[in-house]
Amino acid sequence: MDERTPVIVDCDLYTAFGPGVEACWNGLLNNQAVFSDCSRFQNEKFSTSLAALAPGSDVNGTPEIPGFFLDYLAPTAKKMPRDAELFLASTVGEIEYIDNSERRCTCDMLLERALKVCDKEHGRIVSAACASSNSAFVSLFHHIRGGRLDSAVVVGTDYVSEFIFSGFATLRALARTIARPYDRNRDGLLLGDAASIVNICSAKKAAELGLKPRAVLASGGMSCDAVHITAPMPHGEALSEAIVHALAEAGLQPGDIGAVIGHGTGTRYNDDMEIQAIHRVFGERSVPMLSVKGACGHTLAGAGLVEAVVGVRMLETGLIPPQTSLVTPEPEAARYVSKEIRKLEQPRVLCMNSGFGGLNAVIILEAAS
Amino acid sequence: MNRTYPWHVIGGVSVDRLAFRTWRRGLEYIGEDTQDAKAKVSAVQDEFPHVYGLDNFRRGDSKVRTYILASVLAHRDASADALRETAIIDFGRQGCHEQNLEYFNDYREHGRHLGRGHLFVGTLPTTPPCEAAISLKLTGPCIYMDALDRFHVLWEEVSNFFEMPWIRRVMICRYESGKLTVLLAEPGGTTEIPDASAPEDLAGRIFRAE
Repeated sequence: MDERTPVIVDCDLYTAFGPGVEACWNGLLNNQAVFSDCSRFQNEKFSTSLAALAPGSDVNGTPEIPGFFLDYLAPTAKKMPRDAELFLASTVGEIEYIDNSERRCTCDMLLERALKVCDKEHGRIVSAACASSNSAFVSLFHHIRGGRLDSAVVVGTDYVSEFIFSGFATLRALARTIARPYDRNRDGLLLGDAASIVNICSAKKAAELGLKPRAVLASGGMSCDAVHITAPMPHGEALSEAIVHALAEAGLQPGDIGAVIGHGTGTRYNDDMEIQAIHRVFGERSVPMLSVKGACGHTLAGAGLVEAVVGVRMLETGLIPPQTSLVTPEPEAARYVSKEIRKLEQPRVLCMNSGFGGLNAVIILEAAS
Repeated sequence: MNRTYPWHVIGGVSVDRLAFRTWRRGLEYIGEDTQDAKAKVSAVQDEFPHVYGLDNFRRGDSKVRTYILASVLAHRDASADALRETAIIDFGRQGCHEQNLEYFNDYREHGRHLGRGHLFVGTLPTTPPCEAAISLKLTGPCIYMDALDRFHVLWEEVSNFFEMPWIRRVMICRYESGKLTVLLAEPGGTTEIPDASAPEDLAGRIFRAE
């Protein structure tokens, strides 16, 4: 590990499993799904009322979720120096109040709020639809390797709003029953709340600050399908290119990857595309794969952060959680997913996200030792 | 403070609503509407050989259409074919605020479950540059970034993209109050830019129209 190696020194999560990384991690290991009836808005006319809602996030019955989440994440953010750059992975901010001049909180307003709450001097929003978090990681990886930044806090807060819920409903992307990533009978995604934070710095900075690396951000790759604004490339060529770029950047071969945390929304198109991309890169090797979205929903711009935190725990424990909500795997996915806990055979986890616009972003995490 | 970056701008275009002006070659196109602008841009048969995929031009709103045409013109200004290995960074403050309001009002007025999907897709700040990427087949990374008007963050991000070995060109976009600037940059050479300079501030400084 050289001085400019980006290392993860801390992380935290607040998901529908509740506050804390362990709540989510144990839920995943126990094959739990945490979807419930969403009462934040009238839901009778949608195809589903289910979503993964963070307990305790509705303050006095009024959703003020981004603020609630930022308050939760602030203590972890404050462990980093004030001059650490804050990366906020977000798409639309607190959208429910967009027409309310007093309560409006657009993305840039949310960033200003995050800087204040997290006590940071500077920050930036990185937005790339559902690939926002991983795009922020890839950008940060190169900034640290290039010596332009030495420490950063990556934050994502997205939540189940009527705006987002109705949007995915109009696109007929919501599951009618439950989200079943990589399952033969999957019929869509379910949305989820999440707030997540990952503190990253160069290995040199970590040593100066006396912070112990928990994992290494080994590399990243990004691409754009450039085919369709909502539908993914049918055979996953651009996603596989992003994976290949990430492997090449880290000087790794596909056989060096111990597991893949997929985007795995549970929609037919996304999961098919991902499986084809994985097959294209990994060939006949049955690399273990999972998606957390069958457990705690699709957390949108913050999805990559949730998956990175889960990836850190996989590296620390050597365990791969089962695929939550899986009943009968899609035939092409059967060799990758499992209902059982598996052992991580190689000390690297590849996390990938894809979003509207055909955006793909991939990161590789490596064990710190 | 001025900083020097290890890349150079090869072409650019400024758009003020329906008036397009390229930076290097001084080409001007003024459309009555976006369809008219498209017709005028498409009608020019010069040495520029690339045929762009503008078949889906009509599906986007006027902002998306402006991004597509400006991207085409930035390439024409640079006399450059589109390269697959082009990254896009869109740097702004407003995101897609107008589009967010439009979808918000649409789903409220038409019944909460009857919003229109294409308006929802337009609420993402990456939709306009991604539509440009689709039209020009640009398969590099595409991100929207807002650094609260710290413009050196944008220029450093361009350098960052060029440290990705597979990136050969970066398209820089900035949309502000109905005005769009699109630049194309390639690695090599040096460009000195004051920290406070936005992309639109470079017009006439990096290139003077012939």
